[in-house]
Amino acid sequence: MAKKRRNNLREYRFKIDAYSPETMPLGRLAEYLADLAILFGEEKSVHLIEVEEGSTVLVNLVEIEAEPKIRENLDAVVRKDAPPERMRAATSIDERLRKDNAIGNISDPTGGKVIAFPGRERVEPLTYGPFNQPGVIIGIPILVGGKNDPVPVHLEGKDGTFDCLARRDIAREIAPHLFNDVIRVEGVGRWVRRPTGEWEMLKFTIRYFKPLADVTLRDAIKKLRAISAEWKEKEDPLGEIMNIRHGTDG
Amino acid sequence: MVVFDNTFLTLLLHPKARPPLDPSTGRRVDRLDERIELLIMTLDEDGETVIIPTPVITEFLVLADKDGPPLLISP
Repeated sequence: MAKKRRNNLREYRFKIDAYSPETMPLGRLAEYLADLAILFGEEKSVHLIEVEEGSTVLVNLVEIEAEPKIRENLDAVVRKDAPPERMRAATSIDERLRKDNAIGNISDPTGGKVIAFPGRERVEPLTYGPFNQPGVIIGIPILVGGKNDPVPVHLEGKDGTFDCLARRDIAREIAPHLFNDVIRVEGVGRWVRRPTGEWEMLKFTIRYFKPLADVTLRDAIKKLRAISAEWKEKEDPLGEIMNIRHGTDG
Repeated sequence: MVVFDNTFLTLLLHPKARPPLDPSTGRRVDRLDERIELLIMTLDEDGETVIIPTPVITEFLVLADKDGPPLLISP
């Protein structure tokens, strides 16, 4: 419960639902306070005046002239667009609460929560998978061979090197293209989704491959255009497509 | 990486087809074949990867009818 303060001071409370003032280690309290000072900003205008009982409630008084700026600092943390130092302080508080098996929050003079720290209730991002997913990789073979079956086949693609596996009979057919030809391999990839949201290919087993013709896009299109076709005699093929999609009634 | 839709795929293979309407002017797109050639040249020079999604191929094959399979085999 907020107590009456002088008119030019506003009360912001940081509540930790673990420890009491008697059990809170001094060093731990100092760590929380150091991060709180960064979080609030305007450090000359924020004053710790009390540690209340119950759980642990750090009562801070904010000078009324500095409150708009401090409120903006805290709101920016909630929006996740605060400066890195302030975001690190918020993360540090939350991580510390998690280690202390606690949750916490900062409330304003009306009792409304300004920032909630999930702490122990935070759901840790998970790694999903691995999953199998059919796929296609295009690249130049730069390594074929090994003692086992399937054997490693490494492809150098546009976006890096892909370490694949292929049965010996397929690897033998790929070998003549080593360092020379671009091939397209089809097969099954084994993927995991990391907590960061990135997908990582653990392995890729080649089932089939085909050397790609060494032609430019322009030449390939030229060849395709040269193939005669009745649909090209239609006056308005795009109109035909619209009819395919929506029918001829509408 | 670029992805072609069926409208562009059709015009790519048949640049003399009736041009689509330009939504900003309500008139047919002018100099269509020159625009397509410029795009092909740019993609070629940039070494871009071109994706044609399966649903696009599917719809195009309905349009192309019996003339579709040879396009899938070539070049």
